[in-house]
Amino acid sequence: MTGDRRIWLWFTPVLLVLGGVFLIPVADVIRFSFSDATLLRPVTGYGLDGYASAYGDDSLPVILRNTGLFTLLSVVSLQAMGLAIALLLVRGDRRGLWGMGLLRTIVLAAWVIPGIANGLIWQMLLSEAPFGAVNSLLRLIGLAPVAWLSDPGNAMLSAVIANVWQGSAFSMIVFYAARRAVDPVLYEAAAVDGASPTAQFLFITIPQMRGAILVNTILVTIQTLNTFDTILALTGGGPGRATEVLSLNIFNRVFYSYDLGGGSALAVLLLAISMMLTLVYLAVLMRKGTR
Amino acid sequence: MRHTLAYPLSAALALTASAALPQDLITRDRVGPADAPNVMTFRLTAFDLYSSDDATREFFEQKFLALMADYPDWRIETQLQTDNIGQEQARMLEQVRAGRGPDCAMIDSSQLGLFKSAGVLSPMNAHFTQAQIDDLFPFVRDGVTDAEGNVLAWWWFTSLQVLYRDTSLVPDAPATWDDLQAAALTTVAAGREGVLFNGGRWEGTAFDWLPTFWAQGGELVDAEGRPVFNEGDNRDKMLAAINYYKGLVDSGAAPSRVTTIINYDEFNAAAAAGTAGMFIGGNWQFAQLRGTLPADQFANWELSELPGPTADQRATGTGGWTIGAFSDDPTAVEICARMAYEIYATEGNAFQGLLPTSASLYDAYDTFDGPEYDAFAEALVNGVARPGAAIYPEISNQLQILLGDVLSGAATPEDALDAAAAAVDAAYERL
Amino acid sequence: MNVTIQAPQTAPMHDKTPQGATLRLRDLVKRFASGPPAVAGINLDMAADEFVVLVGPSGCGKSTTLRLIAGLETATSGDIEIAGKRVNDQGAAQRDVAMVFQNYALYPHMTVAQNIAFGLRRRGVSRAEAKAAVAEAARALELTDLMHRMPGDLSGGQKQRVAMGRAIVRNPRLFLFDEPLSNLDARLRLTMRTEIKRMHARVPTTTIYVTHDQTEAMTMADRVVVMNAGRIEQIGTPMEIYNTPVSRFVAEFIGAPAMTFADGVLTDTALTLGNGLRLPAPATPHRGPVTLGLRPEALRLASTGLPARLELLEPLGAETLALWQTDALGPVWVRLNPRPDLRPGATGCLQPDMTRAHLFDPQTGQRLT
Repeated sequence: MTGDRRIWLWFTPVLLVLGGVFLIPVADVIRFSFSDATLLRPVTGYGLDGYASAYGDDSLPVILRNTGLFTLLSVVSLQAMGLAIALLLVRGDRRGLWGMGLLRTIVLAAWVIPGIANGLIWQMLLSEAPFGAVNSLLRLIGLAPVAWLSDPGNAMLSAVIANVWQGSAFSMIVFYAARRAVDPVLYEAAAVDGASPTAQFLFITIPQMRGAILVNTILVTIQTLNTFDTILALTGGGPGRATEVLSLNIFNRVFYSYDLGGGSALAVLLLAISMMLTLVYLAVLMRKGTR
Repeated sequence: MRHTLAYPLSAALALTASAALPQDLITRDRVGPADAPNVMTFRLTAFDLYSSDDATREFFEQKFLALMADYPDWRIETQLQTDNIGQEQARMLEQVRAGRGPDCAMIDSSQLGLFKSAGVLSPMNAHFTQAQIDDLFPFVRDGVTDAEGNVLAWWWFTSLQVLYRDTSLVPDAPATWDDLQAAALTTVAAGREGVLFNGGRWEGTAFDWLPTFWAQGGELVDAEGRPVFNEGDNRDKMLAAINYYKGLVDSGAAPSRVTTIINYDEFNAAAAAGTAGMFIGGNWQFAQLRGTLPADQFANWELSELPGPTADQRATGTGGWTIGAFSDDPTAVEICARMAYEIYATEGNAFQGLLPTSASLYDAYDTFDGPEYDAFAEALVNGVARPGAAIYPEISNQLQILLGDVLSGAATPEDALDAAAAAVDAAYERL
Repeated sequence: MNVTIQAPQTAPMHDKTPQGATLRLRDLVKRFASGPPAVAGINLDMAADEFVVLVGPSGCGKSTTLRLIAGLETATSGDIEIAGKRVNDQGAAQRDVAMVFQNYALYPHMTVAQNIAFGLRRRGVSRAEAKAAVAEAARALELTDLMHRMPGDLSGGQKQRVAMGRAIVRNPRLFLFDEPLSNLDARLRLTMRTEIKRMHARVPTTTIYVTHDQTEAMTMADRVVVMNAGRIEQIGTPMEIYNTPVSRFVAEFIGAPAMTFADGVLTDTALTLGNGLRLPAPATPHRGPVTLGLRPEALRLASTGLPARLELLEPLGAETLALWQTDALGPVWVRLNPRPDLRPGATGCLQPDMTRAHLFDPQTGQRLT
C-alpha cells in the first residue's frame, strides 16, 4: 500500500504541471464556450448561445472550406516536400556530396523563423508591386507577373506555399530519420531482385516509412489546423475572406468582436478535430509498439 | 497651465539628482525614490521613457524627474504595454473593472470611447483651464469630454490621414473623388501605379477608407454605440464610398494589388522605387519620405487633405494617444494630468515631432514651422475619430472583408455591405 | 524447428539447360576513398554451374568481390564478364544474379510469399506465373505453411530458407551467397550447409559462396579461392588447397586444427631446427633456411622422436585431437586414434612423417618444392 502511495507521490509534480499547463486552459475554453463571456466583461451566464451564434454564422461554411483546402493542400505538399528533401539529403549523404549540411541548415532555418516573420518574408517576395521579387524574376525570364495575393484563388495557394516553405523542415526531419532507419541492405536486395529506383521507392521506401508517414500526416495536420500567424502576416485572411481559416477566424472573433464565448465554441471544434487526430496518432504508436 | 519653471529650485535639484544618480530614481519599473511612501502606477508604451533611442529616453527621464521633484513623497511604478494594442487595451479595461488596473495609463484614442462608456475614468477637470480645453481640435474635445463637460482624459498627440502626390505628375492637389481618379489616371499614363491605399485585411484599410464615409456625414454607430452604418441614409453613403474605391480599381486608377497592402511601408517603398504616383497615408510618413528619398525626388512630394465627394465635404481619420486616470487619489490624478500635459502634450511632442491636439501649440514650438504642419493643422479641423464603441473593431474587420471582396470582384457592393452589417449585428448581440 | 530436408516431390523447378552462366574476372580492382585497395587485381574463371567458395579472414576483400559481381559496388578497374559479356556498366538489376545476404535482407513489410515473388514480379513475370513458381520453391524449401507469415515472425533458419527461396525462384544466371550461415547456431549451420549443397546438386547454378569459415569452404566448394589482403592467394579444389598450400598463409588458414610451424635450416643430410634438433631431410633440392609446416596427421606417437608432454585432449569420437608441448616445435596438435590410457601430463615422443612435411620460404612464405 505504501509503495502505491509513493508512486503517486512521484507522479504528483508531473500531474500538477500537466494539469496546470494543459488541462486547466482546455477546461477554461470549454467553460467559456458555454458562457456569454467577452474580452470586456466576465461571464454573466451560461448557455448554448455561443455555439448557436458561432456555428450559425453565415461565413462559417466559407471559413471551413478555406480551412479544409488550406489543410489538405498544405499537408500533401508538406509531406511531398519533406520527403523529397529528406531523400535528397540521404542520397547526398551517401555520395558524400558537398553542401548537404548547408541544405539541412537552410531548411531548418526556415523552420525556426516565427510564423509572423515567415508571412512577412513571403509578403515581400510575392508583392505585386512593380518591384516585387518573384514577379520581377518572372518578368526577367519573359513571363507575365502573377497576382499572387490579390486574386482570391492565388492568395490561398500563396498561403499554402508560405506554410509549406516553413513547415517542410519538420516533415523533413521526421522522414530523414525514418529513411535513415531503413536497413540499406533492403535496397541492395531489391536492386539484385531487379527493382528499378522507382520500384525501390514504391516497394521499399514507402512501405518502410509508412509509420512515419502516418504519424507525420497527423502531426502536420494538427499543426496546419492551428496555423494562423503566417496567414495573418501574409494576407490577414484576405482579400475578403479568401484565406481566412478557422484558427484565424477564432482569433478575429475573440480579438475584434471580443466574443470569448463564441470564439471558444469554435475553438472547441478545433480542439475536437485535433483530439481525434491525436487519438489516431496514439493508436498508430501503440500498434507500432506491439509489433 | 502650471509651468515647471514655477519651481526652479526643485527642477534644478532634480536635474542634478538625475545626472548623479539616474539609475536610482529611474529604473525599468519605477520613477522616483524607491522608498517613497506613496505609490501610483502608470501604464505606458515603450516609445518615450523607455525608448530604445538614447536621446529620446534621456529627454523623457529629465522631464519625469523634473515633474516628480514636486512630489518627493511619491513614486511611479511604470508598467509597459506591448505593441498588440487591441489586446492590451481590452485587457486593461478588464483589469480596471476588476479593480486591478493602473492609476494612470496611456489609452489609444480609438479605444477611449470604450473606457468612457465603462465609466472608469476619473475626471481631470481641476487640472486644465477652460482655455486649454477650448483650444483642442473639435474632434479631440468631443473625444475627451463627456456630456457634462468633464475632461476624462487628455489626448496628447494626434495623427491623420492625408493624400500624398508626386507634383511632377499631379501639380494641383485633387479636391474631389473625381479629381483624384483623373489625377491617378494621368500618373498611370506616365507609367506609375496610380493611387495606392490600404485594401488588405488590417485596421489601416478601414481607417483610411472611413473618411470617404464620414465626409458625407455618415455614422458608424449611434449614441449608444449600436451599429447603424447600413441603416437609412448611412447605407447610401456607404455604397457611395464603396463604389468610389471600386471605381478607382475598375478604372485602373488604382492597381488591383491594393487588396494585398497591409502596411504603410508599402507606400514609402513605392515612392522610393519611383513607381507610385499618389497614395493615401499617415502624416508621419512625410518625415519618413524625407529620410528615405533623395532630396530632388523628395522635393516632388507634397501632401494635401483627403479629397471628398465635393470640394467642401472633407474628412480625415485621426488617431493618436490619450492619457487618463483610473485612480481615486486626487494627487495621483493630478500627477497623471500633469504628466499628460507638461511632459507629453507639449514639449514631448515638440521633441518627437508628433502632432499636438491644439491649434495654438503649433505656433509655440519651432518644430512645427514646416509648411506640412500648416496642412496638417488645417486638415485636422475636419478630423474624425473612430467611434470608441466596443463594436468598432468588428465593424473595422467586416469593412476590411467587404472592401477585399468588392475590390477583388468576389462580391457586389450591396451584397458585401449586407453581409458585413449582418455579421456586425450578430457580433453586437454577443457583446 | 523442423529442418529435415526431403527430396523434392516434383520434378526440378527448371528444366532448361544450362542453368548457370560462366563468370570471368579480369584484373578486378576496387579502391575505396581511403586505405589500400579492398580488391587489388584479381583474376578468376568459373565454369557454368560451378560452386566456388571465396574464403579468407575478414577484410581480405572477399565480400567486396562478391558485391562487385552482384553490381552493388562499382569496379575501379578491370572487367567482370557474365556469360562472356562484360557487365561492369550494368546495374545490379540488369545482371540477373541472385544473392543471399548475411542478415537475410528479407523485406519486413512483405509476407514470405511476397518476398519470394518480388524478384519475379520486378522482372515482369505475370502474377499467375510468379504464384506458381513461388509455390514450387516453397514446396522445395518446406515453406508452404509459412507463406503468409511476416519475416518478423520467423526463426533464423526459416528466414534463411526464405532468403534462399527468393534467390532460387528466379533461376538466376549467378547465385551469390554472402556469409549466409554466420548468424545461425552451429547445429543449424551444419544442416543448412547440407541443404545448400543439395540444392546446388538438384538445381545446378554457377554459385559463389563467401565465408570466413574454412570448414564451409572445404566441405562445400568445387573449387576454393583463398583470398588475402585483396588478392587471391590460391585457387584449387579443397584437397589441392589442403595438400599443397602455395603459401604459409593458405596452410595456416585452411585445416583444423592448424598446421604447426617451425623455422630451421635444410642441408644435404638434415633439417636442423632452431633449438638444434635434427630431423631427416625431406626430398627437395632446396637448401638453406626454411619454415617447416606439419599438419596434425603428419605426426604420430612413437618410441623415438621429439620429446613431448601432453597438455590436453579433445576426444571427437572417431578420433582424438591431442595438444602436445614440445621444446622443438612449441605446442603441437596431433591427430590420434582414441587412446583411453592417455591423460594430460603424460610424456612421450612425437615422430614427424617428413614425407608429409610442408616447406615454406621463411622470407616470402611461398611454398618450396
